[in-house]
Amino acid sequence: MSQTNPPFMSGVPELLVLRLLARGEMYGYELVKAVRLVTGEAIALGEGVIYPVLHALERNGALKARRKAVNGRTRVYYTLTAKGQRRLERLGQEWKRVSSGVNAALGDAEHA
Amino acid sequence: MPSPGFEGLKIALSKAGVSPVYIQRTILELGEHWEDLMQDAVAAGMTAEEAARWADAALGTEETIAAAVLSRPELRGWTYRWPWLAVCLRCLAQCAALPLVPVTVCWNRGALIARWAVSVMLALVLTSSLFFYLNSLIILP
Repeated sequence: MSQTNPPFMSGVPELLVLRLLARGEMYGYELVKAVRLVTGEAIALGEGVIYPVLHALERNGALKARRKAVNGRTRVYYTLTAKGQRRLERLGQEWKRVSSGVNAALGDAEHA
Repeated sequence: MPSPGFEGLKIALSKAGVSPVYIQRTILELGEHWEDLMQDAVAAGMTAEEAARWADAALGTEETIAAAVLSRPELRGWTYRWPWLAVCLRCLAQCAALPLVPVTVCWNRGALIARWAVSVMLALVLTSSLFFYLNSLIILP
């Protein structure tokens, strides 16, 4: 029986955040800019909406947060945990499976 | 220009039962984000007013942010996530507090309670002596 994928669309911000944090620690503003950059501005997250995503991932143990004072400002830096790494792999596989299915369907539609 | 206080967002999240830790974190990070947006906009040549308007628009409305937070049940406080457990624990705490309150009050005011007890006992002895004397006047010839 084929797998359902309810977290597919809602999991895109998580996937991007986890992928970017796998490269190194970042804070919210940095992440939003990085998402815009790596996706060629194809995906622009609502900037304030990034924080619930980060907090939920932290709450689930996928990320670790630490506060750091930088030039009189308080930055909250996020890093990926081992659990986050496993979640990234799982979401990445799910994304590849679904996107290859969609690509195949689009290819079929073009040939039809 | 000072960053917005996000008071409406704070109230909306508190009312919806979001954990105070995450409310505080969200407000702090949104404020810092707004400052970063302002700095970049001013550096790009905007005036302070234009930059503030642009930062507000880029960050999104408080309603949008609140909706995004509320779509994450894991960010709510435990009393919201497990209401039955909260009710049971509250009842247990109230039952435990019922006998504890008078004991604690007596414990902390031992001298006062002792004085009160001695006074009551003296009054009891005096009254019963008086009644005994009056009774003896009536009954005994």
